Amino acid sequence: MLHSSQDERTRDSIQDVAAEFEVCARRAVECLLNRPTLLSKAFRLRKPSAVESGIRCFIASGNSDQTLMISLGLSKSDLRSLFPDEKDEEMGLDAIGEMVNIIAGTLFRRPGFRSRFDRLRTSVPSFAAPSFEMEQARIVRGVLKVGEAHLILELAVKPCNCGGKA
Amino acid sequence: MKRTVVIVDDSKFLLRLMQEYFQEVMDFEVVATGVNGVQGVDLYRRFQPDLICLDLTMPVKDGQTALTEILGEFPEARVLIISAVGGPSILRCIKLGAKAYLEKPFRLEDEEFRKDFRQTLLEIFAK
Repeated sequence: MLHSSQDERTRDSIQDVAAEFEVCARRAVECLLNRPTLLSKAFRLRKPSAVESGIRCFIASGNSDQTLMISLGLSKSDLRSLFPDEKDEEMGLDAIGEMVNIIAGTLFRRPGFRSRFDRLRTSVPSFAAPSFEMEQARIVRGVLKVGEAHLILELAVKPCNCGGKA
Repeated sequence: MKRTVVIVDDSKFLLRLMQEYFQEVMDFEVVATGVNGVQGVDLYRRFQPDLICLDLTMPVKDGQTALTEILGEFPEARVLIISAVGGPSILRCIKLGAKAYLEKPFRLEDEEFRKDFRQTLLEIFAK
């Protein structure tokens, strides 16, 4: 069980960085795709729930106090619409991995984020589901639209002493 | 004669973008690309390019380790660090001898970014 004060701190911290998460996500997606993004669903605190997306790329991170996960989800048809000329699906998946990598890197280096979450160890992006207990996490989720494609972006944080690891 | 470059990044998508950018916009010859630090060191030994671009966060061998090995063997190597991770990691690489760094994401179509990129290259080759 989480102590309520600890949980409140996590909730307040993640809520405070929701706007920064959106900025980093939009910038990474727009730079890599060279296309504009539209906000389809606001980036804000949401209840943990399964993200039905077909494809989901994760990057796990953490320090001694908390574990954190950033993810980007989209459907297979959305992936095809993002890269219509790409014959090799792997190249599209690779681009999604790089987006997540850039979102994490740029978010973690922002002073506003670091003042709340300190320094974090990062890993390389993965498409395999991490062992992260979402029901115990605080989550910011938003959806960006690129052309017809919807990208579901999620930032999840939980204190380390609540079990499990990223 | 065109300047030569080796680009090392674990994202094949980004490698392709950077390869096109170096060739078509910066007028370099991309002699090879690699996806991890082991390949980076091997490719540097093999081609000894005018410039090597190294990503920091890579599987197998990271960019900082590759940088240390390359500069240990080739102290005059021109290394440009490219990374989404800022702060202390970048500073360590500059202290180790990297000539410059560029933070991801790259706005490759942006004129201001191109200007900055050109300036960075000029400074690297002036050192």
